[in-house]
Amino acid sequence: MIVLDNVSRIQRTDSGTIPLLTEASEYFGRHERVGILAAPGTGKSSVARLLSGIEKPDSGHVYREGKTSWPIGFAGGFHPELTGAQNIRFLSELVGQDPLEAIAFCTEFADLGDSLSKKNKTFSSVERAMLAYSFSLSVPCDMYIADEVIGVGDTDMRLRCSAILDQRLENAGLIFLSKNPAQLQKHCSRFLLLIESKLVPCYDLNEGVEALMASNERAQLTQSNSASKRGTS
Amino acid sequence: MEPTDPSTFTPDAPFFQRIGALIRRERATRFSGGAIGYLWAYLTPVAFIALIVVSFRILGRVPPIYVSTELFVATGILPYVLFRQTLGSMARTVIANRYLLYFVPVNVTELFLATAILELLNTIVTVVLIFALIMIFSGGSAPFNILGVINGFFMAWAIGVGFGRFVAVLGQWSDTLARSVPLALRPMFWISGIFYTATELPNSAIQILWYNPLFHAIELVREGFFLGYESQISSAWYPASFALVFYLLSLVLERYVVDTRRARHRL
Repeated sequence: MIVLDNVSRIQRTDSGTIPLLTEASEYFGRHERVGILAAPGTGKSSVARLLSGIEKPDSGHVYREGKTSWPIGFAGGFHPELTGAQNIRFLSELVGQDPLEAIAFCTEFADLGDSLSKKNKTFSSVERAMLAYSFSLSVPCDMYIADEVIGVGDTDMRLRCSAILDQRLENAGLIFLSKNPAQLQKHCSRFLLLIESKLVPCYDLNEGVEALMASNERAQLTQSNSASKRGTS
Repeated sequence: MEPTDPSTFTPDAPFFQRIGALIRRERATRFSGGAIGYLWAYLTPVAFIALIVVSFRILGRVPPIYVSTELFVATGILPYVLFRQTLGSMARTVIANRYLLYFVPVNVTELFLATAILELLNTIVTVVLIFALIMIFSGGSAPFNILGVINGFFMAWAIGVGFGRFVAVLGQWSDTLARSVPLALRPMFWISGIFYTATELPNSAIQILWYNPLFHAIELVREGFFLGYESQISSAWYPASFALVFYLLSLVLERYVVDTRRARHRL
């Protein structure tokens, strides 16, 4: 279970601060699959980090009950100089997973048997993604967070990703942040819209997409307006 | 609200397991050159010592304390190397290992702690090895007060940890500051009493160099090592408070950098 209570998050840029999330309150249950639709570059990853507990909000509280995953498929923790097995072992110990169980899970699911003894830097990008994906699902969690990545690899691989994710979600919740309404529709049953730093309910994803596009146009209009004003003055 | 059964929750890894895993991971990745990389860590201080000993010979300088040149130089250079390596590793770990923060409950303090412990362990091995080698090849008696020696090394480490944490947070905030700190610390090699002692200095120099905490650490090592040696720059509380103050300052600065989202390296 994750509860957002009046949560705000800003981003600092060279030209000042921009709000990514403003006073958001929401309840995410343990047996829910919630999709959050957002336009590119509007703070999906920041919201994912807030939900995962990696970052703290600027104001408000994020309450978490049980274990929350890191964004599924995150590969940043894998050191290029370590082998696949070494990486899984160290990261397992960090998150409280039995290393042997994790290695067995990844070997079976991702079909990486031989590659686990290779150094991470010699992996192909698909292998690397598979390893990161299967490792994130090897850890039983109560809430899974997905930041755009919900499956990896080719069509066949993606089917297996979906199957294993479904298995995990029998006993856990999902929050999936994406710009892709079709993907959200496929994996989620309740939807939210991240629009102009607000988190609002969304009952129809097509309308959600239109709302995002309209908001984007308004933003561009304001931008070009202020740019032309600067040009004339 | 749906009912949840807390007993089904997977527990996080316990604190000591996380620290242990971080230390082992750091050790496995520190020297990407494999065995040669590892050897390099021990060769650096040896090369330092050899270089200074050779220049002592060329310049005809005799150590101000009646011991072999090698031993005298080692008591100066080893605390210095410990300080510099700890400081460097502290600054590196927050940037190199920042993605490990994705694996909650790992936090920044744990990254620092694991790095500091690893530096201390590495140094113990280096120090024992080098002193043993010197004793075997150029003679010299064992330290007269081993606790004093340990205290001196511990101080050098503490300054590296406290000040290093401060520099690390500074580096997260500003690239310019991160780059200028190593430059600003260059003179430390010359002003910390590595190849001379406080007793050789004029009073005016002592008054200034007293504020260099590393000088205290090095002289503490020598007071412990050499029977009858006493230095005017060998307070234990000064380097200890210096380390503590910068450690606390780093917490304040970190709070500011994180809270106002000023970190250079985004997660």
